Amino acid sequence: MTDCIIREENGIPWITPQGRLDSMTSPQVQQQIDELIMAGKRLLVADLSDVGFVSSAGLRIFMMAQKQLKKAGGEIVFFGVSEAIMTIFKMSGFDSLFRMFSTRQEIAAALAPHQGGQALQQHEAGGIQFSYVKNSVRPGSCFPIGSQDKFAQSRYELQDSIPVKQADIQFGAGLAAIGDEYEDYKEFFGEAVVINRHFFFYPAVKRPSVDFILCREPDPSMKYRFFHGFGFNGQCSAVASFESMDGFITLDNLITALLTLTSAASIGIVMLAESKGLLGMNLKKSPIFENKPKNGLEIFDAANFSEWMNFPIEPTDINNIIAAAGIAVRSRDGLASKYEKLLSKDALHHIHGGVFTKEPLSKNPAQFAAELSRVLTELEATKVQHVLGQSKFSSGLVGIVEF
Amino acid sequence: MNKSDMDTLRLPARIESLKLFQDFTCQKLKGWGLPQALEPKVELILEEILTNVFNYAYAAGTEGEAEVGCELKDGSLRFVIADWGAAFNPLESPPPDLTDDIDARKVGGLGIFFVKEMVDAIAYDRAHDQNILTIAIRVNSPNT
Repeated sequence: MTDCIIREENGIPWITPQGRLDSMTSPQVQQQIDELIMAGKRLLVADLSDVGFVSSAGLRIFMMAQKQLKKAGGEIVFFGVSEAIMTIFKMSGFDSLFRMFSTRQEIAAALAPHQGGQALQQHEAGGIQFSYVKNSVRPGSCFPIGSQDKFAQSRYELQDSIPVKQADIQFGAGLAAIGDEYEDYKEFFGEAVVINRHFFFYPAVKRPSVDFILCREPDPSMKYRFFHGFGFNGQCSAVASFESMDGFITLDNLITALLTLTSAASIGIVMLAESKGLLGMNLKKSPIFENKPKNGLEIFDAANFSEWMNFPIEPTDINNIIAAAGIAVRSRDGLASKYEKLLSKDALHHIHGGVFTKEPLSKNPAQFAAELSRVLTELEATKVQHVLGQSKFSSGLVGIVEF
Repeated sequence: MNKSDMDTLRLPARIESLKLFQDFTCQKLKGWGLPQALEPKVELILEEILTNVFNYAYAAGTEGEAEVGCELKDGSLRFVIADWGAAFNPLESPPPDLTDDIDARKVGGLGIFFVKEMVDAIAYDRAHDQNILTIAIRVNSPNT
């Protein structure tokens, strides 16, 4: 049986399979590589010094790892490849898919954090390590959409459905739907999130699935329909990667720590993160006049709550990618009424997130835009929810728009 | 395709049999006094061909067998690998495109490609409801 020893050198895991890498032993090594990638490792060294035999089953695990890692801005490299195995590697075209090194110095030089481009600054707050770049940009702007006044009583009607042009909303969150005729879409209002004008929403029906509109070029005729919510536009004044230094990070703690990266009193947040237990809420019925509770009580009343809200007690969607957007404020004291209305009682943030496939994410702030685009346009979303403050994450990328 | 004068081993077509097939063959190589350096090559060929047979020849949940025969004749090491599963000619599978980048590159198809690269002759035949793969490797044997 192959033993695969894993050790770390300068924070980079070295995988050192022993003996043979064939159809019998590869599944075990593959599992160890998968675990490292899932744990957030993006650079891996496969040390083949003690491997005397590799079959296509062995090659396959490295190819799959490289496919995953390259997408996430990472890489697996080889060390100690013997002449016999190199023959197989060359035969398979591996020499153009992988970098191979024969000395530790070469590896250290090749895998050192990139110095080119903008230098990353380090910052630590609340047990979270941030690597970030700051950009000098003009402040962004946040605008409320519609009103929550008719929400609790489920009294929304045609005139409450606010069309928001795709071209006018870069980011946002709220209760929304898509469609041309109110009669056709009124039953589908649900949690929605807008990121880079892409729109994802979770219709509040019995067996919902995420519906979305992707935006390559803003379509002047495309409108998203909101009962309530907010949008914000602007460029990120800071883009950071974050990683927990100990245990997992709650959304509440992440936001508190993020606010140490800016002096703004209120910010827009755009985030990609690896979930370690999401606590999210979504509506189960569209809060329209036709659906208003017969007992005359509010939808949040204990008598109606479970019929109206999906509110999980246990965390869900562990290891999934969450793509989220929302707003956060430093304090509720002296808060402009504009923001006051966008936050629920006592809350300091209002964030909606789409739950996407389990896949590794890049940890390089320079790749934030590319990663957002990849997740939103290539991966599948299973839910959109209001993300609660106790949701947990291990790491991710986040952009701050200062208002 | 005559197997009658070959030493053969027939075992259930499952991954646990792989090592037994490899050991059987390497014993033969030793018996014929062939260089030890040949063994990893032969083991690799057997693994690539046999794992295909184990995984695909028989429908999931059904038991089948695989047979390996080998002989040394006229300076060539000859293997005959047979199964009684669905007709399948592995030589028809397209080779991987080695110029593809990592995104486009297909993960499968390398095994049979290796085998083709490493042997001097390879042929497929379907006869008596068997898939029969015959492989020849030229060797400089002390006995020939």
